Amino acid sequence: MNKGAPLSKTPATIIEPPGHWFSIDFGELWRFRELFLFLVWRDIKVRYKQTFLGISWAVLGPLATAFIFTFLFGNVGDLPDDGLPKPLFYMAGLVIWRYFATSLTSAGNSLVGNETLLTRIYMPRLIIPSSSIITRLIDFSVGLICLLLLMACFRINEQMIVPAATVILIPILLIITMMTALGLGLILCSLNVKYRDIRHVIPLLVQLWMYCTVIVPFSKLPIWLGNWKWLYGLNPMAGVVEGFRWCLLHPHMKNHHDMKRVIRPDEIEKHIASGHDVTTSMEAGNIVYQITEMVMLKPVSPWPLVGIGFVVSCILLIWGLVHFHKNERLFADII
Amino acid sequence: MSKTTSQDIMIRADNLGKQYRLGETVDLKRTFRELLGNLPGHLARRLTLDRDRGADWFWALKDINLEIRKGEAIGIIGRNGSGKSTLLKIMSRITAPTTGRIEIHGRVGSLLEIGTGFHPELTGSENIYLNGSILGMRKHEISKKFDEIVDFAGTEMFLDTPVKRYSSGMRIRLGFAVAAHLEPEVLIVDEVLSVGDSEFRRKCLDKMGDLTGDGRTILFVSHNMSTIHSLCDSCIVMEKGAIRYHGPQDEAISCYQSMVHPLLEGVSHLSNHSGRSQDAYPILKKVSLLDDNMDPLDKGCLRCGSNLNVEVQYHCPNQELDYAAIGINSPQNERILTVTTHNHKEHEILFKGHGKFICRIPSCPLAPGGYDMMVAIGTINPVNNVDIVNNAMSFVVEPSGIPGLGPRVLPGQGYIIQPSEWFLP
Repeated sequence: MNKGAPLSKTPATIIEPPGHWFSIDFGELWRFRELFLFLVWRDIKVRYKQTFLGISWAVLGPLATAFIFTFLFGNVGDLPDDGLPKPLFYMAGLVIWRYFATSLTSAGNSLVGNETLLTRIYMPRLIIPSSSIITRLIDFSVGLICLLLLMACFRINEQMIVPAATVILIPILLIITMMTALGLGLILCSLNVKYRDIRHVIPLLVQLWMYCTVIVPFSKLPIWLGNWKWLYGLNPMAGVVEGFRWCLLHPHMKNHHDMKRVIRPDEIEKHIASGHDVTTSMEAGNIVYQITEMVMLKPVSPWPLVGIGFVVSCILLIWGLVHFHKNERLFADII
Repeated sequence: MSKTTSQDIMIRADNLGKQYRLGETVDLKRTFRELLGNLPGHLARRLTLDRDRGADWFWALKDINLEIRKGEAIGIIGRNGSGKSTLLKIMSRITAPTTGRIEIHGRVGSLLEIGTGFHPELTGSENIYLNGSILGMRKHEISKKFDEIVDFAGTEMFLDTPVKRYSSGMRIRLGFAVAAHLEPEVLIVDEVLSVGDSEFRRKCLDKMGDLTGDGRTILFVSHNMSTIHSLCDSCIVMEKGAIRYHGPQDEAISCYQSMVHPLLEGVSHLSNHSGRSQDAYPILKKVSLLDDNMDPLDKGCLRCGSNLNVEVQYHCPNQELDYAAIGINSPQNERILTVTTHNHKEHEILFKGHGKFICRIPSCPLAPGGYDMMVAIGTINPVNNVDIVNNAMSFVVEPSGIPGLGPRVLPGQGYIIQPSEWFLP
């Protein structure tokens, strides 16, 4: 062989063993943008093929859950809300939560689900989990429209509920959601390649996480938590769900707490007349009369919580990218 | 000088190696460490990793050095597990090498499977776009070539039908049609033409031939020697993860044949042969292949179009026999041709006592491939095979350029090669 032959002048692709350094080739991701969009398009096209109700499933899911929650947590459990009509309160939380949950689930299963692509074709592996997160935006938009319609059905003080102007801040929340879902999804999907246990872990994780996120509003966390309540923000989705409700509905939100107040004995009759329950207890040998009163506090701004969530989601995303990058070149061997 | 450009190296592999782990190992502790970054334990892990590498790791590829020039069509042949597919997978960046590096100049299109990424729920035309995009085509390229693709596949009337309703043949046609319209500088093809009917295969081969004509580089894995022969200029023979031979295809193919058929000795002893018919009387002793100088061949291989010389030894102490036959069977055990002494008009041949006879088939018309030989001996009147041994010997016909047969011998076109002349009246 003639070793001295000139190399072709066309740009070279160098294939080497996986290195230790973390790097994302953004140029390459950009070159593969069409495939990315095609994968999104494929998943959207295929999702509701051969279904009778089609895209309505994107509405029925959160709607049904919202009404079940209204009944279970709102009516039977009598859990606190933000002073919003309960179906709206739950539906608002669920629409954004469902986006996160479905994104995380499909990102986590994306590599295993696209095994044939992984073992037959080269592409930046990152586009597989990320495309499944983008795909879910369709369901989210449909859910959001449904939420707006639902808002129009409710009246507060004879007034129709219209979205607040702060609705334009929703994309910020959406980005945090995507970062969290992608970061965690990257970790889960690369683990899933090796351990199919992950497929069973994901639904469990999503379900438990939901109960920690959409049921209790931040403002109704027990007061004795003091500043510890900010730990709630470590769940990035807590901030997102709070923020989402706030952006859409904050003019109608009320932050009222039931507070106990000690009253003088001569006030008892007055309070009973105005419909309060007076409770008695013994303290240091004296009878103490108390009433439970609703107190309006300043509405709690969700943005500090969102801020903490943003930091956490950045950490998750970087962690996910690093872990994914370390493993991606061997996916085809172990899947 | 255009010769210089065709000398350009498109692919260069240095010291390439790929190690795989044997068996399934679930090591949760290690996964956890990896998940958490494992910074302090990094050194310790490397040490333990190196230790278990010796135990249950094996090299699927080792020390591969290669240079492939522009416009070359290279066949990669070798037995199953010899590392061919691993090499292609590394070149198409599906899996990473363990050692060494490859430099590839130009756009790579890899076709390791027909119709990768076809989604059964999507329609034919949707899948053309999806599959094209997966194979690395741009959307506007696909749109431009859409009609050509549909034409090539011949499935135009089903374009709006979901692919899941396609027959498997239609799916393959559609898949190949998309792939055939890729225009990469380097095309990597794994054994994908073993599917589909012969006419379609020929269409595909022609298309691939056109690609090399355009100066594209093709790497092609196949077990079908006649496909390799018709498509490739030179070949790489792989064995146990290493390159055993790299050079002109004729030599490469015989190298491969001798690897695949190490037991084809060109001679077979028949005294206790398992292929003998149950009621046969053991008369045939030995069958061997000879060259044109009547010297025994050391391997059971002959060039396509050369003379087939068969020597048969017999021992028939008790009777006189006047009939012998040699039949050639295809690998599917169909009889392709039979030659007998009965056709030999000139004089009567008698077989008696110890002896041997030679049968020559001049310019043996067998197409390249593997065959089995049947040998029989008996009487002509009444017709009776006293001894008959099926599959008495296997032999291989190797491809070679035969004048008057055209440059290509295509698979699926029968077992007989027939020169022909064509005229325009």
